[in-house]
Amino acid sequence: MLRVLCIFLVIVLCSAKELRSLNAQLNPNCPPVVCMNNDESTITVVHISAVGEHDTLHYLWDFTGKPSVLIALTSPITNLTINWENFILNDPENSVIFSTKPIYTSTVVMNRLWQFNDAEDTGTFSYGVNSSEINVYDTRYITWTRNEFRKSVHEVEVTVKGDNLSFFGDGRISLNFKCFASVDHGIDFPHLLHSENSTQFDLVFDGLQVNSSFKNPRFAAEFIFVSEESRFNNQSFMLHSKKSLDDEHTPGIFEIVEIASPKSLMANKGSFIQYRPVSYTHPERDVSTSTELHITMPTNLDNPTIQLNTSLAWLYYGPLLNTILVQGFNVSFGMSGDGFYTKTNYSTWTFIMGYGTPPNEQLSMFVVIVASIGLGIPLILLVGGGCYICIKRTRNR
Amino acid sequence: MTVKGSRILTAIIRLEGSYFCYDNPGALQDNFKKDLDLSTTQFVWLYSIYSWPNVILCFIGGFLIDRVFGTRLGTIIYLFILLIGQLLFAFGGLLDIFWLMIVGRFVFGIGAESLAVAQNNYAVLWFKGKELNMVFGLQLSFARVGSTVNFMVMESVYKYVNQFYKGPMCIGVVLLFASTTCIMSFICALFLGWMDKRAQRILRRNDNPGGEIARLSDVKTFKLTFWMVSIICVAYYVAIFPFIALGKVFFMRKYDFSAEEANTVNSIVYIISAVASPVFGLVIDKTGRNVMWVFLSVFVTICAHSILAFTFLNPYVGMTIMGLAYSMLASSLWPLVALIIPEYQLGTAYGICQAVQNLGLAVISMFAGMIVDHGGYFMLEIFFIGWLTIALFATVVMWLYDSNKKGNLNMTPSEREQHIDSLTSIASAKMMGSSSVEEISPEDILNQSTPALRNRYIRRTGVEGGTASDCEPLLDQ
Repeated sequence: MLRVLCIFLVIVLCSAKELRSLNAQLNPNCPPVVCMNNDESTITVVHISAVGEHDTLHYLWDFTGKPSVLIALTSPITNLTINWENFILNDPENSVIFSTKPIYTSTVVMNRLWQFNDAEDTGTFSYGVNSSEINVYDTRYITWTRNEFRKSVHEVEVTVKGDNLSFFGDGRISLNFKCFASVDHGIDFPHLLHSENSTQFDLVFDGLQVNSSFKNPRFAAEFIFVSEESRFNNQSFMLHSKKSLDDEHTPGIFEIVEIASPKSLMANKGSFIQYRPVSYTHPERDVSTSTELHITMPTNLDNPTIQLNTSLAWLYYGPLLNTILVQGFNVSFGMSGDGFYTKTNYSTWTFIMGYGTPPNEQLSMFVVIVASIGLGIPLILLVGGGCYICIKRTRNR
Repeated sequence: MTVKGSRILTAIIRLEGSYFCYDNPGALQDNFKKDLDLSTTQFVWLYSIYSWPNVILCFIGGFLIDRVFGTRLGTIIYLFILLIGQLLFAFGGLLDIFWLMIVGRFVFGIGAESLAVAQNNYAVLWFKGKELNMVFGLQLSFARVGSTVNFMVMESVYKYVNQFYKGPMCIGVVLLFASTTCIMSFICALFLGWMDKRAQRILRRNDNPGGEIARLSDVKTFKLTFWMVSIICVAYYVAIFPFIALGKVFFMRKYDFSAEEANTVNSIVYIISAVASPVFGLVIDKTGRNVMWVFLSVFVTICAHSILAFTFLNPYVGMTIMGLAYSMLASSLWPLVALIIPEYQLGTAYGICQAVQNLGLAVISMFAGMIVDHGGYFMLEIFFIGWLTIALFATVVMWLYDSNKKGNLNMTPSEREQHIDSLTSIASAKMMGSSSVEEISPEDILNQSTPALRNRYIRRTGVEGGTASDCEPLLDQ
């Protein structure tokens, strides 16, 4: 018990320490031609450099095409330049340039959204089973309007709303990206644990119009995970889930799921996605509004360059996408018996994406103390009471 | 034996109506909400209006049994109130008047909880010193059977009635049907009252030989051991019922169970208790040592909760252990009150136990929901283990106090017999020596049988903080 307590102290002390210092810029050096002539809030590119002792982690959040996150690990003094003309014209030639070549890069793209008819009420989605029961929405055709941008050296946050009248009626998709300087739990449900090497992605499907011909409509989303690792030996992202006894931070959810690149698994030098398999069906997120979330195995894409050609992944990697590790997976929201999307017209997903190994959840100090009191006292009573009775009996004799 | 058997059976059937009707809304939750157009909050009112008033009322109900009605009449009156409540509830449904339904549940609650107190009194009156533990076990067992039958039957009754009546009408008719169980209980109560009166006449039993009158101020003279029993009543039961209420989602999420599987594992505690509690009662009747059994059950329950909290072991293991421990506790704890408190105050005492238990359950159920929302199920388990620790602590205090005072709570049945005999001889020896101190006139000695005298002496010394008789307020005659 003492050992656990010591580990805790160390973690608590560590978490108080800022491990990186964040420096964020919205639309860095964007020329007036690009950013002023348009309605400014529809062009949202955020660059964050998280400067550590030995290296710098760059995050690039892009909402000009398909919503994407790029993370790049570089030497401490490396600058990023966006060549806005090329960037807007979707030309991969020199549009995102690092002053020194990054050690490692990885990208996540929200590629397509699905609406499907869950005839069997399972909550799971598999593409291509019955195309008449699936509607496809390409995220490039959704207008992403910036709602909020906040920055400090500790935390950077941006929120955008996505609309498309013909897709979703008055409904909206809300995306919230966050980036942190230290290890801690998120403020909002599901309170994911994030490290200083990760960025959080929160997705909300709010009041989307459903296809009236679908009896049991649900939504799903396709994400594409790119990692600058060679594709030889049919290497693949590994999906695995583990269970913990403790649901202290995400009440009711005991499982944690990770998708890790081969380098992350083998040498802690790759990228990962980590999340709790929970989707909330109401803005007030708690146990009673939680439902399940299902993910498919990551699989190779047929034509990565075509599929990704309006995303940050294309802008940064270009034709390289054909040789590096690029895989897609689908996430669907809901579980058997929860009344489908139409019951509340609300679905969420939150995950973190980062570099290195996924952070490991630990019992909090509070739980450890309470648990040791709760279990310690009965044991003391048992031993103490036993001794007392023994002594009393021998004395009486 | 057949007389005894029929007594036990009738006594138990008398309660059946109350347990059957209590969970009527629960068994028809969806139909209630749909037919009467109730929100979830309104539906929950049907239960809270039952439980909250009883935080105080069943204490008063218990006291009234001691002071005014007596057990026999009390039972009949409370059953009558219960019946009226159920009928009001049913008519509220028939006429689609929600407030009338609420009033019905309120009246029903007053009757049902005080009835449970009266029932405990009856059990003590008839079975003390013999099969009391088993009878308490049987009571629990049949309570479970009553509510299980309700859950199994009501749905099909509803379906049948729904062919003829729709909407609120249908709910009303179904509830009227359910009230027949209350009428049956009422007939049983009348029969039982008649049997009791006859037994009293034939056996010339005197329920209150000392002619003592219960007073509210008597509560102050209740012993420490009784208060410990009350603490266990609260601290133990809050770790069981609120847990089961929240258990379904826990089993689904932690162990990936389907909704049906989760329901099954969740109900296993009740299923086991229906079978195991009379058996444990029998064992405790043979072995005595109630306090040791209480200690054991609380400790085993802590183990069961720990298995659920700290391991991924199949939850059937933890829940089965919890079910066994729960049955053991019910059979050993409630009879303790009869060993501590004189019979003429028993109604008050059981009323207090029931009242504090109601209070604990009402408050902790609310609190438990909040803990799940903000701290998760792991925290909830730790919270329950904390309560069980308090129960364990109270048990140890009771045990030490009792063994220091050389009380009879943890004795075997034969030791209890000897204890009574030795107390009697001390009592008569004292009386020979200094009868004036005890204000016993020669007429008293001439007019009363020895046991009556013995009891009176012991009761007085016991109640007034005497010495040797601290834990022996009343002896069997």
